[in-house]
Amino acid sequence: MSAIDRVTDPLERFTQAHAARMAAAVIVSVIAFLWLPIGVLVFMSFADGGVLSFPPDELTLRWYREFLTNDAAIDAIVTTLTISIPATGITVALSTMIAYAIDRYVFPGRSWLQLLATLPIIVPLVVTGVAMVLFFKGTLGLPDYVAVVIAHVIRTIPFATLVILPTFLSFDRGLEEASKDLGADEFETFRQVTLPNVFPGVVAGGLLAFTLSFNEFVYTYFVKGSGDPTLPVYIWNQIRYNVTPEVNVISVVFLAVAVSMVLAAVSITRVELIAQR
Amino acid sequence: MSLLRVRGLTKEFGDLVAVDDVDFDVEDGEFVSILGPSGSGKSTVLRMVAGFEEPTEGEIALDDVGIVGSPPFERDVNMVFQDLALFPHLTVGENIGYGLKQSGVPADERRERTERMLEMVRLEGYGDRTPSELSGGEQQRVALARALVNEPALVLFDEPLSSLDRKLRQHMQGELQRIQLETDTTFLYVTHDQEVALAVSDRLVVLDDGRIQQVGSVEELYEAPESRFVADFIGDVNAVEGRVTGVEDDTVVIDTGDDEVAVPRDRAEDVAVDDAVDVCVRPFQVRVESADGDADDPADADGAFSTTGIVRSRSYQGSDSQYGIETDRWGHLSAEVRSASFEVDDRVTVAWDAGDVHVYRRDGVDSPEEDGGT
Repeated sequence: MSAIDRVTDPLERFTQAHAARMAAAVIVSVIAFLWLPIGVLVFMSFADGGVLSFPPDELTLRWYREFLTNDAAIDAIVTTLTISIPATGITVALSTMIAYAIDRYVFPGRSWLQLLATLPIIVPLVVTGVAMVLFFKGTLGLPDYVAVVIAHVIRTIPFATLVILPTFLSFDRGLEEASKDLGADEFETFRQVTLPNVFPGVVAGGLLAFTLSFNEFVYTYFVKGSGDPTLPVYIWNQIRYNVTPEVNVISVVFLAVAVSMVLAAVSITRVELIAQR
Repeated sequence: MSLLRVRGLTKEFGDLVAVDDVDFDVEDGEFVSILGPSGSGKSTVLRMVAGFEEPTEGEIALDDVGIVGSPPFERDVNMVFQDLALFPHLTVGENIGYGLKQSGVPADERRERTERMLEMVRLEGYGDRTPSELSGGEQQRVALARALVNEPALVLFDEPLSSLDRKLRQHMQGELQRIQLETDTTFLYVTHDQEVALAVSDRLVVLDDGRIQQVGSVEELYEAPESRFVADFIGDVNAVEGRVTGVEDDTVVIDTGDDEVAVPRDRAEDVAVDDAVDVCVRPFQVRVESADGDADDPADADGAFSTTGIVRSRSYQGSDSQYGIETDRWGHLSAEVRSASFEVDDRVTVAWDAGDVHVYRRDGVDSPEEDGGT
């Protein structure tokens, strides 16, 4: 007599008997909901006959060619990069300093700094977006470009800090003592010991910040005004007025950038974790 | 002139006095251990010598030059850290050559000296590996080589062997002694492990609660501990409570309950009449004999402590057996006996000579662990 035969409630019995299969079904459907639309999108970017005809008659690279010859789309990519690259640089510098401060120093408001650095993750994007429009443009009267870069920095700092902080926390400061004990002064110790050990985390934080900035839509849409659109804003404008297969292509480009950046970040931090053993 | 001279060294962390007025010397070529329980301040002393902590007060002189206030990278000492602190991003060879690189030794010479060090610690051919590929014992050797390659005046050790298993630790102790002789370097070694300290050191500095308890050779500390703490900490000891009833020219009379025993004066130096005292004796000096049913026959010869008891436990330790004996007078005692065999629950008499004890005043005596004695 197994335990299952003693359970009398039929629902309970069903659950007991089929728990593994039910769990598998839930997991499969969650993954399907996440990835199926993206899979279809990638597939449709090769479809010949427009957006809404599924299944497509023929597969083609036509939309990719068209994307590459579309000046407006290329301009949008350039615009995005002129914002994302400086924003990433600023974010990495600030996040590294924040992580260093939280790790090294006990100062009044240390826990508040940590909270403030990461809190923006939970503030609704729209709220911050509106606030930025009011403050940067209304109150300070900043130019569009500066306002957008600042907005991207604000958007990416929490994530970059969360990625960089653990590498500082797990960095063994005994290594710095060992370095000084062996005759290296403060600067040489930072250059030869501290930096090489936290560098992978900093790079990973930078990659994540870049990916986020490259994809950033909400703040950009609020703050950017009438200038050249960034790529996400360009896509938004496209699908608002006319849905073209080119949008699929751009989305695939996004996906490729984001996935490769995240994979790079993961592999770099993995390498670093092993090196610390 | 001593190589290292420490005078009046004091370190306070807020209200806590971690190191309290510590004086000691290390002579050139010596192997000195600072021995103390955790929290005794021994690591803080070492860190002040290395330059990682600033003393609140006191002097540290290396080769007769004061070094307090100079940063660690300017001191002619190198340290083997407790967790070794090998650089994970560098190879074994680069780890060892790190100090030479800092002092501007050219690459060729660096490589050559690194090779020689690898040989010295018997890790030939390991130079291109990373520290994480090495076993714990091999990492210890790398850390040692990294400290020695710079040919410092003094090498500091912060319990680096504590993470090794017993057998490997004993092996490394031997290696340390060999390498110290070969390199003719002075070692200052911090540990809580009396076994390590006794095995490797020329002299010991026993520290408790930030204060020096005793400084001396291993033999001195074992044969003539100046306090109950040192007696307890260096080797095992039985302690029996008593009271001084008389002090004469060459003996001190101690009442340990039922009868009085005269102890040679040099075994009970700092006591006066009416002091409450601990009478301490090493387990190997305790004699155990079968009581043969004659329950009350303690051989009450003058100059011996004795009582009867029942064997409660027995463990073999190589050639000796260690017995735990529940005595009628003095609670639990332990005895190490060779060439005699008793079973648990045997009734025995226990005795030791008055000339083998050390007597300490009870008040103000710190005990590292509460003894089972009642």
